[in-house]
Amino acid sequence: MIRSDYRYAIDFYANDRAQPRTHLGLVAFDPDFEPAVESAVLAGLRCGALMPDARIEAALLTPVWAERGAPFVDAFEVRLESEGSAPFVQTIPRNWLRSAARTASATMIERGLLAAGDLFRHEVCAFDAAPAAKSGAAGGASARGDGVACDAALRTPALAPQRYDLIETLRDAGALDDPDVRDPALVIPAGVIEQTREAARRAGNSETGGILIGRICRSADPGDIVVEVTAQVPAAHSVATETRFTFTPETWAAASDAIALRRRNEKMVGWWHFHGWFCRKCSKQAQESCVYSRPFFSEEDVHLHRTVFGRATNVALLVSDFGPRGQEVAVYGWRDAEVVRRGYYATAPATARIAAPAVYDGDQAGGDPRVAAGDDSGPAAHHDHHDRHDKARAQGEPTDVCTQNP
Amino acid sequence: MNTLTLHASDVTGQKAVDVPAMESGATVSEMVQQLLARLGLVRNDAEGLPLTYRARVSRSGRQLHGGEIVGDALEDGDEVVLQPHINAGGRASLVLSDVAPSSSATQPVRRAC
Repeated sequence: MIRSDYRYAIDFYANDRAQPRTHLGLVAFDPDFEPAVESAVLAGLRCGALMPDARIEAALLTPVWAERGAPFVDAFEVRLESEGSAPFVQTIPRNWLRSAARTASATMIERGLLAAGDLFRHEVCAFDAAPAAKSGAAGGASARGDGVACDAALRTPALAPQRYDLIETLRDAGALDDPDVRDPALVIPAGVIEQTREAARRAGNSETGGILIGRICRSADPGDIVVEVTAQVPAAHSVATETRFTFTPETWAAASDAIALRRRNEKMVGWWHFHGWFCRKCSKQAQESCVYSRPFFSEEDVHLHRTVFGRATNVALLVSDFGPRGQEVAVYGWRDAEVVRRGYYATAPATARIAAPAVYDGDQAGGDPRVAAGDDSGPAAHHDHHDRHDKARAQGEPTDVCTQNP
Repeated sequence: MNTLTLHASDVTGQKAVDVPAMESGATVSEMVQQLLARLGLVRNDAEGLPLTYRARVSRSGRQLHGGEIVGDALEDGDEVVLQPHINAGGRASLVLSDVAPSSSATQPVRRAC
C-alpha cells in the first residue's frame, strides 16, 4: 500500500515582469505517487536491494524539505518494504509534480488570479495531515489521490530467467541519444526501429503506432537491469488521424494474442507511435522556431504512457517526420518519476546475446556490489546531467507555433 | 449471494489482483468499475474525461459487453483483462514553460491519475 502522512498543495507565484514572485495562493491537490514509487522500485531492483517479482508490502512517502524549510518540498523520500529484503529508501526529486501544478493552475484561472497562457512559478508544499485524514490509512485512499481504495498487490518487476550478456551485445551496437547511467540500458534491434520508420513512411500524414514487446533482464556483467525490446507489434484495430492515434481494446487484444503465439516469454515493455510533418504548410522561418519542428511527447502521449506503461522500465519510441530533414527517432522513458527523452542502443538482430550458463541462478538480496546506479564501469557512459529537453527549457525554449498546423 | 473468484489485470499484466468474491449478479460494467478501483488504474484521459475500459476473458479471448451479467459471462477462476480505449498524439503541450493551460479558461481540467 502506498501512503503519505501529509496533505499537499501547490503554492503559486506570478512570473511576469510587472509582478515578479508575487504570491498568488495555494491550491490543494492529491499527488500521483505511483510514478515515484515505481522509480524507487526500479532503483532498488537495479542495485539488488529488492528481489524481482516480490510483493511490496508498503511504500511510505515523506517530504524532504527545501533549503528554506517546511512546508516547502524539494523531494520525496520513498521507503519501500518488500518481502525478502531489508527496507529500501530512495529520494525522488519533486519535478514530476509539475504536471499537477499545471492541472492546479486551472483553479487559479477560475479564481481570476491567473489568465490562460500566463506564466507562473510554483512550489510544492506539505502539511501534517490530521490522523483521520492521513492517506493510506485503513480503508483509506489509494496513491492515485481520488479517494478510491486500491488493493492491487504492488510487485517488483519479474525478470527473464536468463541473464543478458550486455557487454557482448553492445560490441556491435550503436549508442543513440547518449545513454545515461541513470536509466537501465535499453536495447532495440535496428530491424525493429526500421519497421517503425517504414510503417511511418507508409502512414503518410496520419499517425500510426504499435506496441513494443520484449523482456526485462538482469545483465550477466554488470548485474544491472536491461530492457530488451525484441519486436514491435503494429497496432491493429486502431483509429488514426493526422494528430491523433487511438489504441482500442481490440488493439491490446491483438497484441496480447501475438505475444501468446510467439511463445518467447515476452511481454509488453512499451509502445511506439508516429508524428507526421505538422509544419509542412508553414514558412521555413516559422518552422525553425516552432515547437513542432522537433520530437515532442505531447500531454496525451505522457498520459497514455502513465496510464498503460507506468512501470519505470517501460519505454516509448516516437518516429517524427520533418519533411526535407527526414525522419527522427526519439525514445522516452521514466526517470525520477518523469517521462523524459532517453538514450538507447540499437543492435543488429544477430548480435543479441544470451549469457551462458542458460540456467537462471537467482538474485540474492544485497546484490552484486559492482552494481549501483552511477557505476560507470559497465557499458553505459556518464553523461551530462541535463537531457536535451531540459537544456532547451532552461535556455528559453521558443513557444512560437506555426499558424497553419492541423 | 453467489460470487465468483476472478483474477484481474491490466493489458500489460504489470498490475494484477485476485478478487475472491465478485458478485455473480453484477453487470460487467459494474465489475469493470470495481476492478478499475482495485487495480488502481487511471480512470480519466488527459482532458479529465472518463476513459473507456472493456473486459476481456483470457480463457476465450472474448470481449465482454457492459450489459452482460457476470455470472453468465464468466466462470469461477477466470482471468479478466481490462483494456482501455486511449489516445496518443495531439498537440505539443506548452506546459514545458509552466504556462497555465490555455484550454482551461472556463472548464477546469481535473486529472485523477
